[in-house]
Amino acid sequence: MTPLAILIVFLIVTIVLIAVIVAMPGVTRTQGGKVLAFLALFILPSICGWSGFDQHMERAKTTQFCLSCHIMEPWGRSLHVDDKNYLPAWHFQNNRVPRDHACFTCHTNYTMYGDFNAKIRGFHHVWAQYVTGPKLPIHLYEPYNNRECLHCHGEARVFLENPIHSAQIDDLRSNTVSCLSSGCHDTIHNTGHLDEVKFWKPE
Amino acid sequence: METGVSVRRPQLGSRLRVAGILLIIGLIIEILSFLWDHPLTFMAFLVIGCTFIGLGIVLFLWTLVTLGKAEPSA
Repeated sequence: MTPLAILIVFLIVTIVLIAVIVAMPGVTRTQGGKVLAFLALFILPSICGWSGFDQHMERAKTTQFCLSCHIMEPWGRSLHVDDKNYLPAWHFQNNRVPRDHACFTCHTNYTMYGDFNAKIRGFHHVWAQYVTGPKLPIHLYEPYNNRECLHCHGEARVFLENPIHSAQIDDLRSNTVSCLSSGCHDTIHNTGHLDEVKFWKPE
Repeated sequence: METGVSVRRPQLGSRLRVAGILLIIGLIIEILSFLWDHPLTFMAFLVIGCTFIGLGIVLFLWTLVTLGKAEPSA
């Protein structure tokens, strides 16, 4: 049984218990009825609400969720470009990031409350999509921080032993030289050129 | 002659009913929000579902505070 299925069962049981109180509020005259009302009208709904929020937060980290908006379709396609210079595609296709959490893995902040901040940005995306309209071309709200790259690569042997990396390791760590925009790893999603590239077809 | 307890009882029952109905609506919205994997369902859960759940809980607690004094034993 999946966590979602367990949560749905829990929600249904809670609804049934609340329905008992709604249908027969007189049961609260007894001690047992008072306990039932406290459980059904306070404890269980609180747990349901929090569990639902947690479940939605987990679902919001999935690649499927991020690509569910039509406007993100080219970014999803870019993960299948058959060219190792396309950084996100190379990470996605070689499992350098979990494929089912590909967007979130690179676009969260690896800081305290980073996941929370990422979701606040998600609300901003929804607002931009449905209220103000997206500002084209789609862009990051802030320049991409090396911290997100170095979270995985920072202590990797192959990264540290690379002479180009080791020569400027302090600048990379302090984010004064960008991994992405300083001319080294500058082919990112490149969605404007997807008509000119080959795509990887997993077998 | 009616006592304070018997006057409070119908009001208590109706408030519990309203709190329960608010909670049921909120929980049904929560269940429905899991049917689609889309940012709008997340927003619907947060904005509509959680509002109903929150109102139901607050109304119940408010009822406890204002009407739920211990009744004298018969």
